[in-house]
Amino acid sequence: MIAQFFVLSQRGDNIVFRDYRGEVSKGSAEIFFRKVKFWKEDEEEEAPPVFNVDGVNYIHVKIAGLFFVTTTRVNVSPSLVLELLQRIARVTKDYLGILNEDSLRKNFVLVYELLDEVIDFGYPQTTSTEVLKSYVFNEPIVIDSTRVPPLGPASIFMQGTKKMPGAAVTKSVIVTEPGGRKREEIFVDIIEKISVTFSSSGYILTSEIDGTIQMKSYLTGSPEIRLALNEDLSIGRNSSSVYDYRSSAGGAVILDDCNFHESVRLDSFDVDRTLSLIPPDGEFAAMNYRTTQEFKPPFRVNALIEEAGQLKAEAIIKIRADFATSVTANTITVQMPVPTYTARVSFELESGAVGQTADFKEGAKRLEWCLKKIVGGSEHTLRAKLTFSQESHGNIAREAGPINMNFTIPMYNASKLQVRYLQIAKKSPSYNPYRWVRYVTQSNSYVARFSTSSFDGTREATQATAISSTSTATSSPLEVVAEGATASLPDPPAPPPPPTTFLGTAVPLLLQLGLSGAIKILGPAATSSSSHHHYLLAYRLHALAVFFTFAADMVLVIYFIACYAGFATPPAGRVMKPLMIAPLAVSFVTVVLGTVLNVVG
Amino acid sequence: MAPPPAPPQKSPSPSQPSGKSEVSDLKLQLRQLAGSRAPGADDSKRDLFKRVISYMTVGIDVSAAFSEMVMCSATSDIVLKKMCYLYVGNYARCHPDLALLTINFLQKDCHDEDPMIRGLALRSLCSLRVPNLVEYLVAPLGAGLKDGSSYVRMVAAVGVLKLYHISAATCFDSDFPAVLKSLMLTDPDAQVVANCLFVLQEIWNLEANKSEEASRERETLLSKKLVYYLLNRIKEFNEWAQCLVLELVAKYIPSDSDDIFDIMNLLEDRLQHANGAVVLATIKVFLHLTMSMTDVHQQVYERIKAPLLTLVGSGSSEQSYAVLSHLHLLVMRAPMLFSSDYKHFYCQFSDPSYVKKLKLEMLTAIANESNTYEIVTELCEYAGNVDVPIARESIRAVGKIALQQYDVNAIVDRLLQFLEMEKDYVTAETLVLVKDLLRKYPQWSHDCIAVVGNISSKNVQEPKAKAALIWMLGEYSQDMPDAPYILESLIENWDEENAAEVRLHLLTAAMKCFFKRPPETQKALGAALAAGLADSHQDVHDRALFYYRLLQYDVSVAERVVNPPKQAVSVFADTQSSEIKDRIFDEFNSLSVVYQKPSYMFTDKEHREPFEFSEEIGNLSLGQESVGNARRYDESDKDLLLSTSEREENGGPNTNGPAAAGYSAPPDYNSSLVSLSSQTQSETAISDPGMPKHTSQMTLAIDDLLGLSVPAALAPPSLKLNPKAVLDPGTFQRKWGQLAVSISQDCSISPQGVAALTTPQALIRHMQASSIQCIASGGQSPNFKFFFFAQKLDGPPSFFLMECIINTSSAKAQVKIKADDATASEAFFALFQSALSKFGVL
Repeated sequence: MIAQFFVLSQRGDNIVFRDYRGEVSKGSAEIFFRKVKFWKEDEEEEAPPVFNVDGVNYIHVKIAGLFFVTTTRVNVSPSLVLELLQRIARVTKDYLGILNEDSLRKNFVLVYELLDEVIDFGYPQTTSTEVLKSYVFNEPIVIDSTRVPPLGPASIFMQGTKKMPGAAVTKSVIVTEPGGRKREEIFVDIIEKISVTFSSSGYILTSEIDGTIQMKSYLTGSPEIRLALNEDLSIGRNSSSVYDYRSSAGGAVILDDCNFHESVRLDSFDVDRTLSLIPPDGEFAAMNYRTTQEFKPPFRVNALIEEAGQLKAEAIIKIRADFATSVTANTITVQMPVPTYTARVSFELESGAVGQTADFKEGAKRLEWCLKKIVGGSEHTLRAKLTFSQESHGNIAREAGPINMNFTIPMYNASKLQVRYLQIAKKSPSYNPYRWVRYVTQSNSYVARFSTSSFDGTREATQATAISSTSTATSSPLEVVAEGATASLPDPPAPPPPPTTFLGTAVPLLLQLGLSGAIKILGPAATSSSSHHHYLLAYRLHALAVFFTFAADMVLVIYFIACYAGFATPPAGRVMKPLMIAPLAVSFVTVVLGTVLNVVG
Repeated sequence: MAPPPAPPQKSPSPSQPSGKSEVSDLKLQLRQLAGSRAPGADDSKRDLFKRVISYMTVGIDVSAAFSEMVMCSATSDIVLKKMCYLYVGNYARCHPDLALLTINFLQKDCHDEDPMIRGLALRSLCSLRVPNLVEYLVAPLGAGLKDGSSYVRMVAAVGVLKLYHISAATCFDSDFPAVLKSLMLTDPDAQVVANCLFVLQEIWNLEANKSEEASRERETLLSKKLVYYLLNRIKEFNEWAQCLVLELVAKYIPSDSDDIFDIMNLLEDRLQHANGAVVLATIKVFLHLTMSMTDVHQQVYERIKAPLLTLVGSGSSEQSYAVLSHLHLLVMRAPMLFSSDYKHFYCQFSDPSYVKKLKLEMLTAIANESNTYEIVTELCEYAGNVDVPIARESIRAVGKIALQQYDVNAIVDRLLQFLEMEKDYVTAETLVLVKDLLRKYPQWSHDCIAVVGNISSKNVQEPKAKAALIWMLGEYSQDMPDAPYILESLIENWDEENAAEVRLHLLTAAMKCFFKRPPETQKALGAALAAGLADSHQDVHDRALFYYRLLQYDVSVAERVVNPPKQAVSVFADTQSSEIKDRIFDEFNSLSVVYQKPSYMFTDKEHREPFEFSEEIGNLSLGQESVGNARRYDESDKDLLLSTSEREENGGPNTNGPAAAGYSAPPDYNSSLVSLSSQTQSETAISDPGMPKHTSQMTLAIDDLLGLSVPAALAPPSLKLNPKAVLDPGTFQRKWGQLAVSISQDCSISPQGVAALTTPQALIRHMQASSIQCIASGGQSPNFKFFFFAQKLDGPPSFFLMECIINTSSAKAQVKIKADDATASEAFFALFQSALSKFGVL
């Protein structure tokens, strides 16, 4: 059970300190702060949220630049304590309107009042803003919200505070408007954090959306509300695979999974995708969801770095906003780590660029490109000339990158999850509270890996196989064959082929070997001739690679057709059908990708 | 007497203590205000109180103002009251005499009309923590428990726990636990019920070791009736109380499979809760309930995957970390079930390094035939990462995957590419890995050596990497033309080499190289031996001397000793024993999972989860009808769920013969002796075609050498024990509670026994040979605790139960024996002693 709870400022002062059980010494806050500040264990720079010093467990979260900490000697559930800490912060925010060091210091008595009721003798009692209302008597001293600095990119970046700018409603639940009446309103924010990784050749390696439907209610008299989502919303990957028109089906939203706040009732959810709930006071997440369904990433990032003479290199970063012109993204930061031996960087912004800055952070050895806003459909480019203090050995593209982007796009949501309507049960004909529904998309991890200016032959070859293997994620048999070529895996899921089917594995193997061999031979030649033509050469090489892959696949197809017709022994009987289709699909995808690559690259 | 103007908006961060003068200033102002009824006095008081509390918060001792604060507390302003209560609660303990002053007004408040005030006063009264004021507590508490307001009852229930901690005797004398118990079963308010539950849990857990009645009471908390009563009301509880109930249910031992499915169906929707703590607590229930049903257990894994992944994505990074740690645990237990989810464990840019580390471990664990290519490709991306620790970690991960045997050749290529990156830390990490790889797959030596040979030893600075490089130079000197010369130059710089590890390797490598290419190496070896003999480091000196004498004695003997033909290592020993892993799994949804350590390693004894012992037994008994079954289900369970490497380990116990039949504790492979033998056993059991046939003979030889062959039990004729005795933990617990101690004695352990007792398992095996079975064990050097049992072979079923606490540093064992037939316990003790005296002396 929790022994103590305290809130520390960034400098380590106690803002609030509550001892519930007297089991841990009073000096714990100082021990904690020292430990966190000078954390260097196992090469890790940053203290984990849970650690143990001399039998005392310190569990903390960082919120708004403050440490919310509990100590305990008991083997508690870490997620219980972490959830509780987060909830304490949220309740406090509900009361104070704004949560920061200043507001906490001004209202620490109120916070003590809350803490008394939230935890008793180390056991959590209640964290419901509504229930707590009857126990709390202090009036919050509201600090001027205009004095709070707007949520800049830095604050989004701050560790441990996955900020929700959409929820920047800074009104306390218990303070009434100057007019003496409370304004009846409810905010519904659909906040999506997206994670995308682009491979070095520009295709999407992984993508995921973590979304939240966050509500903040200022309604009195607890009316019931109904929130309707997309009618064609479906949940669970497994069920969708039966139909399997998920990537092509335009519009249908498929969630991998979701969870709900306990006030949400799902009686009619299965029928018409409607959540009904009596919203509790204050801020809460009505629903969290996650999807790995393919979606169109809002930004395309292309980056290139190449040597430009001795001790010099040039980097080009290009961003294209792939969303409607009516939407504007703001506070965009693009970060690019550069080789550690970079001494100086000079930048070349686009002509007439407004609200853009570029900077070389020498300590962190990275470039930072900040853009105030990007309008949908536009494209921006940054050129940077790097000067090195020592000669680079090998491939500079491997020593730089990957590029990371941070952004916020209001009124945009990647998953296409929509609130169809928000209905509030009427208490009287004149009752018509304000309803705010907002969408916002934020980057969680938006990473683009470097294209190696494509004259590294061996790398290109591995890429070619990578394309085929990732694009066939659904038709695994071929993937195995293709991989078998480069990796000679022990065997596919089926039992090892008898000697008669030797041909089955040998043919593609030989083909692939021949292909990569050819490129390996051509590759170094291309690298060594660092003439002006290397771009062209690279393109040709690339085309060659694509052609070879295509040819290889075609041979495969013919071979398998032959198998099917009975001219040769099939490698493993029961995987015949996918084997037939997969090569076709792969070659098609490879060709398309190859073309795209050539155009883009 | 006009109240002095309260310092207007005094900077809320008071400068750190100059203390004294400010406190006396406060005292003065408070005194002036104490009796004031002037309008506005309350406001000034509020400001003053706030200042006092803010000093208290930053750690300035304001206890000097105690009496003034109490004097000012006579007020009807509830905000003032609360501040005053807070202050009093903080300082009463250091001023027990002054605390008496507060009793009066608190008692008065306990009879206030407003339930809020009654509750607050009662809470403060119980929080004073002053032993000699206990007498004033009893009456208000008793009234509070019967109060009409649920708020007051809620506070009173916790108050009982506070009272218990101040004076347990008073608490029992007033019969509060019984009151709570009836309250728990009847109160309409869910929070009151929840409070009663945790109060009773804490009290009975602490008392259970002292009285048997308490441990019986504790068992009734786990009765079917109560568990069902709470489960049926689960939706009335708030999320925190739900966690509490779920935690209780996880300890419940279901009566049959219908019971299990009823509970699971009832709790199914809890998996969709937005609060991660509720979800994890539910998962714990599911996992523990289905331990005995392998297929359902596996379904549970499939079912909980999606909710866990959603939780990882939805909360703050701290919350994700806690959930991810649990996911990590599950992945490590059943990597195959997660093999298609590998993309979820790719590192994200924003992940803190502690999260990345967990993810890398998971990726390593789930790599198999179908996903290795993608995983390794991804890991290689991290290797060039700017975040150096993570880059290192990723390289290690690639190496570990290679050691897991999937797709080795492609990975070896990748590793060799790392060497070409010419980043010193990449090279360093890779060298260490290449060395390990070569130890497992000597067939790759040709490719590796070609690349390693190109690395200039000057670019390798880290001792571990240097040692690895030198090892390879020695081992493969016949394939590396430069080997003797590189070694020679390294030996020339002997004095500059700081790490003893490197110097030791250098000596050995010079020897090995000498045996292969004597003329080229002779000079270097001489120099190395000379330098070694003069070395200040003890081990280096000794090794040099040893080699020197060995060479003097006979060169061919020396070669056989230093450079015999090597056998490839098939499995590198796991760093964590499976017993520890099981322990952590039993403690699912606790800090143990985050630390990856069982709780006894990081909590003090008095704060340990009080259910500890019963958990030990309870978990063993989960779903198992008899101990004999335990092992069986455990194995089939593992076969289905665990990775191949662990399955290999499991080969060990299978070959243990009939002795394994009554085996109750999971085997431990951590101790080097045991792991060696089990490893060799499993090698033969798997019959790897590449393995030379003589391993089985070697196993025997090693067994003899290490004294692992188990002799027949030499029991005194007076008492014969049933070698296949069976007793389920529930019965054990009950019997232990019922029977009286028949023998309680100390005995000593031989030094050999102490040496052999590195883990509890060693003794458990030994005792099994004497037909004494272990039902639960724990501890760490020097303290171990065992619960043994044995059954008389003939006559009516008669059990001996024994608690044995061993302290290896004092070489003493404390033994408590309880027996169905107390007259035979002397004989049993004698038998036990004779068995114990043979422990380690074989």
